[in-house]
Amino acid sequence: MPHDVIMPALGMAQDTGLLLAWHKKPGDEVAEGDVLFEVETDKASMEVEAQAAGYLTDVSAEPGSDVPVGQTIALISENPKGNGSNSSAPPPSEPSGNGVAAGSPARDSADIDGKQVIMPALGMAQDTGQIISWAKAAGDAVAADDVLLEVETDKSAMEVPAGFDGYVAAILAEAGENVPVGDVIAVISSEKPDAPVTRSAKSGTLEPAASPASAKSAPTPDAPAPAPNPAPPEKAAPPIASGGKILASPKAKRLAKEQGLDLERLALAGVTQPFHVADLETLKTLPAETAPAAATQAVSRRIVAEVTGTALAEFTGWLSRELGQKVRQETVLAGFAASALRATGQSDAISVQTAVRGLVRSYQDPDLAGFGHAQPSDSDTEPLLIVRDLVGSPLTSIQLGAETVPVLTVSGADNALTITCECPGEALSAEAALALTTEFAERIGDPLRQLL
Amino acid sequence: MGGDKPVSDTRTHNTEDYLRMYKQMVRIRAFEDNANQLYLSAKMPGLTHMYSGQEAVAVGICEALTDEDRITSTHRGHGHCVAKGAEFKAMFCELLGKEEGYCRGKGGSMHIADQSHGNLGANAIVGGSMGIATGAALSAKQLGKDFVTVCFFGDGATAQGLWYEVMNMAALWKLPVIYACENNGYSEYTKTEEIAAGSLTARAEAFGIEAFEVDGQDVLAVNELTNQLVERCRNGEGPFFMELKTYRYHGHHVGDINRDYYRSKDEEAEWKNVRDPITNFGKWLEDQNILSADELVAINNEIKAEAEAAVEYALNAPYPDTSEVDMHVFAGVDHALDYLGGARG
Amino acid sequence: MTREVTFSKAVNEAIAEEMRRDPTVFLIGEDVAEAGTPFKVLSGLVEEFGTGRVIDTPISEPGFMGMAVGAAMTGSRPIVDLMFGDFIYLVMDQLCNQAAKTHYMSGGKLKVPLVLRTNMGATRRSAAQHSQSLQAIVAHIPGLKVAMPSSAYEAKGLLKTAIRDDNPVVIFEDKLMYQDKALVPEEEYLIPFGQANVKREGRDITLVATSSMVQVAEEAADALAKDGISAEIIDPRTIVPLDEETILNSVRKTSRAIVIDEGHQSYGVTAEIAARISAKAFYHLDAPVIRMGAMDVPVPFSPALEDLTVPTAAGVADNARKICRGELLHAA
Repeated sequence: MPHDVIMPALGMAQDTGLLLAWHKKPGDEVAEGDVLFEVETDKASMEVEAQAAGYLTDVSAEPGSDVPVGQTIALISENPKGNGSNSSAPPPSEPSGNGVAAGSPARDSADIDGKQVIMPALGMAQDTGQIISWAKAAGDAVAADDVLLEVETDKSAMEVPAGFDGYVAAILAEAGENVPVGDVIAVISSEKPDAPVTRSAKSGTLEPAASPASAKSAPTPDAPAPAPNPAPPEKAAPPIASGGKILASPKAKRLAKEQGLDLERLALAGVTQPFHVADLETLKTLPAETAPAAATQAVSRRIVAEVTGTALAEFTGWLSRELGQKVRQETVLAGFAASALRATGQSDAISVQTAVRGLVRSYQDPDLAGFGHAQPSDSDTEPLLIVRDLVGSPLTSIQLGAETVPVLTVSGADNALTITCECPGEALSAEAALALTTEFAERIGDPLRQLL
Repeated sequence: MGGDKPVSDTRTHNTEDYLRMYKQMVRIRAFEDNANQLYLSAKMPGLTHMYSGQEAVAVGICEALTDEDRITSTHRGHGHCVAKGAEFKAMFCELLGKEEGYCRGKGGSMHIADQSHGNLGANAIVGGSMGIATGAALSAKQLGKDFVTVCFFGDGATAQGLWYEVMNMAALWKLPVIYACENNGYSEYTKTEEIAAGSLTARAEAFGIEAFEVDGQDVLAVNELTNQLVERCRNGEGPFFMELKTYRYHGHHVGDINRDYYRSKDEEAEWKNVRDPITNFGKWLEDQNILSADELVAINNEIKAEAEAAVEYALNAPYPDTSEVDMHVFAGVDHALDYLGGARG
Repeated sequence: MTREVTFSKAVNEAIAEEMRRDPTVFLIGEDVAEAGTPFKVLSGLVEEFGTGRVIDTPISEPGFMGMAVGAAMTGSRPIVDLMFGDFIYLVMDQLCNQAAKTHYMSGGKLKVPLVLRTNMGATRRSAAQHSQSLQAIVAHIPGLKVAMPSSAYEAKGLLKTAIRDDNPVVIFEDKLMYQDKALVPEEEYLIPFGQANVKREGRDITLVATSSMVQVAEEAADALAKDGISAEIIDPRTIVPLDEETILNSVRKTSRAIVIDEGHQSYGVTAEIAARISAKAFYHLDAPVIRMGAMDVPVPFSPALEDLTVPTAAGVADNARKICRGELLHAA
């Protein structure tokens, strides 16, 4: 199975990432953790590491192109030639209100002339839509307002209009199939198609549909050649909160409004709809991680501290010597961060995620393990804190916007480290955020504090 | 048919009575002529049903009644209303939906009620008032009062079952009610002979009710008979039934213009020329030297002018305030919507 | 001072007291005199008031209904006894076209102070023409007031108020309740129209129940209490006029409501009350308002079928639990 290389969502309110450069060429062997490419998001450029080992293939995005977040831009395949399934670069597609996008070709449907009908994003937090039924068959004439198909999303079935006048030139997914939002599921041509196509999304094989007039006739041999390489689904941008409808009791909605609570967070957290008043209690205790990036009006905190890094480097070196093994700086930082958070009053287990040059690791209570002893854990516990180590990079100022949990970014050079704390208002009070940053910075500036 | 056939001139009337009967008939005709004009000139909302031609029935009967006596009326009810003492102005105002109408514009032509003169109201359901009239008679009995109720209805209403239910009870309990069937020959757009089997009087007689046939174009005959029956009702001899043979000059309603398919113009002309109750009574008054031809014309003109003035008045009268729309739904409740709550939400 | 009195006796007392008080009141209907009606509700009245004021009629519902209208328009205050509520269909013209509209059509000049006493309620194994609960049909007509007593106490107090009202009032008595006893004051009392009774206070859900369904709601509330669900029971007592405020205030408190009435569910009393709650307490609702009326089928004869058609305590409790748990009964 090839592994998708996708454009990651790195910042706040980020829809696309600018691909700055590939660090590997097509056919190159890559190891997990290797830097694959470099991306510029809102403010900063970041290196993206390979998440799997294999060969880089099927590169479909050129440096300099703005790629929608979530879109596959390459594969890591088992052989250097790949399987060719990502041969054409899917362009950013903008699902329109009625779920139909006209435009440039995508994947195998590129071969079929006409307007493309995509799986619309209909519900909240919806990645795929299940096709319940097609109201038209390949070859049928359709008007723009005609119902083309019925789709089931999270909660409801919806009828999707064709969006264009013309003929159904191709139906590219079968009833019952779950199709990623944004995928092309049909093509509507202006001319009556000679050989309308019907296939499943899975098979990716184009089959000329039996025309109503010759229902039993065999597929015509000169049907357009089926595109042989189904691509991994291009992901649409995550549903933006305002697009969907939240099912909640009138009272729950009223109270949420009065209390400034955002029911969308419940939806994003996967709490079953419709919401009732009781769910508001859940909402109040919900950690901020489910807050949708764009929708939160909530306060985003950013605190910057500066310390010298000499002591930290010395401390890490000393630890390595003491323990007789290399102690990664991130381990030390994770311990400091957990300890700092604990100093603000957090008494429960603290899971810290570290990110160093794209490598993400998790530590469980790293401050309690003893210096240098903390080991990355496999636990998939949601982190309470993220520590990003950018020391040595040319980045000087970090303002990525709050993520769902506090992020402590350490950047700069040993003689002048900058510690940036960013967190959403709901995650930490102003006092707690200040305390956390201060504690963290002081520990870096004077690691011996940690010993006390 | 039971009872003695009354003879018009066997009973002494004084001149005033004759004069009033004549005037009342002319007033009904004048009212209807103006109402018809209001309709034709599109000044009147809705439709109305002309009483013209049947004036002797309403006047002959109502002249035998006091204000305490009650009547129930029909969709063709202007004649009953006028005959029972109503004023032109309030009637025209009601026809035009004006505030000064008898029902403050809420009833219109088919529902004029004039409580002060004992008119319990016209009724737009054919036969719909038979229960009410009989109940009024029951009420007189229950309350120990001597008022008599006359139930006006047409030949068409004799096909309604309600009549037989209430006649049965009226007969059982000897109620002071007179069922006055104005047989104008047509049940809406259908000849009466096509909708009524057997005889109408026989139907009443089947309940042991004395029944009479009378010429509905002869106001004195009608009045004479009614006087007798009212008197007998007050003596506890009711109920009674009378079938009054009459004719409606217009169609079923003012809009029923082309009616050749159910009756001929010749037939209409004959009734109008030969049997008109007003003309004939006028001639009789002349013959009896009670009124001269000039005096008759003067009366006609005076009433015509009065009617036209009332129409003018009504046309200029104000409509009810819109706040009245939910008034009078319940007695004792000013505004029903406030009372009922739901209607505004 | 109160004593236990049957529903039937309470009705009888109300009529007797009002007939003593007001000589214009009389009783009219089929077998109301010596027979005292098939349910024996009126037994004894003819002995006191005579056949002159307790009037047996032929089997002519439209006839005596119409006569009552005429009598009411001319100074009497008739009480019409309609042996079965199902016969309302027979008197529709007299009740709805005549009685209900006369005051309005006459611009307020004529009044129709009459009471139509009739009954409702299934499960007497009387089949489709003697088991209907037709209050919604009457309540639909502007100009008619509609009372639905739920016990002997209400039966007496509401009937006395009805007899004194200057408008046509229809009272539906649950024929299964005639032998049920309740505490009724010895002293004279009236129950004003448009004043609901908070039969039981509760916190979690409002059960609006009429007539026979008040008992059903009480039984359901008992069951719910065992599950820790506190139900408030509102008995509107009159559905025209409806005491909206009491109902809305209750729902504003509990955020949930089930409306229960024995009439057919579709287009019924439950629908009307549910609609008003939904419109006027919308932002207080934490669950959709649930209607529970009789099944939309003619009432069947077989006990095995008939019992399926009326709302039951178990059914009410079941629905109440579901909506209190946040389960939508009809999730989209």
